[in-house]
Amino acid sequence: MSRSEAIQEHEVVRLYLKRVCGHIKAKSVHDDIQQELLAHLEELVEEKEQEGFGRKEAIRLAVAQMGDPDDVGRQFHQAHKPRMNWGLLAVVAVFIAIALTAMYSVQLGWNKRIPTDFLMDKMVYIGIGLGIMAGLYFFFDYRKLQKYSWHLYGLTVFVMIILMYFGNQVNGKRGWISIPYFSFDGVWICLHFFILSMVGLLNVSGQKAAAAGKLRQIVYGFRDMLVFFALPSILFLWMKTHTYLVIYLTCLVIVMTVYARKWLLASGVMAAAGMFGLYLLFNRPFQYILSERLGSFFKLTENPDSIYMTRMSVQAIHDGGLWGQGFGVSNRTLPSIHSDMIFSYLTYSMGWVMAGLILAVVITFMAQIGIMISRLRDRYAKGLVIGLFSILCLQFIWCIGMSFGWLPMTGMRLPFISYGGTSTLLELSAIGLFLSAYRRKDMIPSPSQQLQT
Amino acid sequence: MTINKELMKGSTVILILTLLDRKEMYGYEMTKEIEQSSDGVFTFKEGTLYPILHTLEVEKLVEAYWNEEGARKRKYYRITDHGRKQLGEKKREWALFRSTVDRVLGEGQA
Repeated sequence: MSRSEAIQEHEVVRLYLKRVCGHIKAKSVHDDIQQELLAHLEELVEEKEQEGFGRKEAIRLAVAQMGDPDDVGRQFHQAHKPRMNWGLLAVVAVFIAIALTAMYSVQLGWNKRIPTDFLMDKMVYIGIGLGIMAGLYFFFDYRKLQKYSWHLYGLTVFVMIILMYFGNQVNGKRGWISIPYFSFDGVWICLHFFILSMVGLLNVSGQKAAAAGKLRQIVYGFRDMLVFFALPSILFLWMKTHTYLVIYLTCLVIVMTVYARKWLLASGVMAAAGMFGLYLLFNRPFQYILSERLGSFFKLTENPDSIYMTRMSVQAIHDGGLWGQGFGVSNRTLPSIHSDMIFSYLTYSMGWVMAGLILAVVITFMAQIGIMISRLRDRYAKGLVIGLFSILCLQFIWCIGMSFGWLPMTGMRLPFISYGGTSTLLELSAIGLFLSAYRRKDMIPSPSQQLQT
Repeated sequence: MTINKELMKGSTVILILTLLDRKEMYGYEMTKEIEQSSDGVFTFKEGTLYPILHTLEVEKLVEAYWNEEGARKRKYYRITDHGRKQLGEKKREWALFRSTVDRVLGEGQA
């Protein structure tokens, strides 16, 4: 080490490194590059000294042999420059175009008493959402988030408790935050923050647990069950947001298996959730909800509400035909055409062509994210994308699935397209976070720890 | 006789991947190896090797890791499976290129 410091002391070397790094915008790779070039210079100097040159001359010759620092610096910058995922951006643009078309059609076809300016509202939310997205892309270094995973978790639990006591009720749903002109679904926001904090905690605890002994691992396992499963589940149940609980638990299992590869923990969660579900099945107040949602789906019980909605949805998709009943058409029987039933309504009004287009864009979106995950090199970045993407995926699959009558009917919006301020903002923020991770994918140094072959 | 810089540029990646296909190496070792096995015909400004290595790493053709050997820290590179596949393709491309150039040149002389 003393040798390399000695080389660094020399003005020629310092100047060379400074000029190389002057071209590289990604500051976090500077150290790595300097170390690497220094190591090379050291070897060259040694070689020259053995050939009989004095130290000073040897250093000068070695630096000359490295070539033009501006040239090298520019090439380094090319390798480590910020990246833009244009493909993802294009898919999101198509989603927005479909969303605006959909909102206008819904607005024209809206036959309820109170008229709502769906198009204008959606445009406002998309505008704000795109602002957040750009902000996250340019200015938010996702790596900073990992350090605050515990803080984020604690804050989310705290906010959930606050929402329980002070949150508003909107359409019979609890935990809404109302400010002038806007109201937000606080629990839905909290679900995203739970997933974000969980990814950070799992990434760290995964590294820690690998190094710990057997007993320690068991202790960690119990702690993880409590932190990731028990407490959030209680909070979601407490808020009576059962659908959110199902989404949360599914995403939890996806992140634990696909990302953290903690199969034991994931099976623990699934077993606990299964037992809990059985308990609910025999518990009176929940029996109604379950029998309504699942029972009617499996045709175990006759529940007029749920069956009616499913039948209307399937009917609307069928009636749409190839080219649809017309843009802005009304549908007397289909409820909530602006949110849960938007896929069925769009198929009804713009036909199977529209349904095919939406399906194609959703599949393209999923493929884009899949490719993106494989290109990311940072583990934490991968986790963030997997976590948020699983929330989006679940909504896509469930919303479209229940529209066709393949999955139980419940409150599930179609991401990007359905009306709804909170979800529009959250979805575009998630894209912002994805782009932020992708932007910095080559701006991080290679792993400094030694890897075994 | 030295080789034109532009001509050299097109073949550095295939040279680097070939070296790394044999064993894991650090940058200085690679420059020496290339110089020796080409009998000194291939010489280049050694600093330019590193941006190429970093680009290969970003493209996941190679992986890098730091290793401490005594007082010395060295950054080693190793080829990935993806890199091996690419190398195979590049070699086929090269063979086609070489034989075609030879054929055209041969016909030109005749």
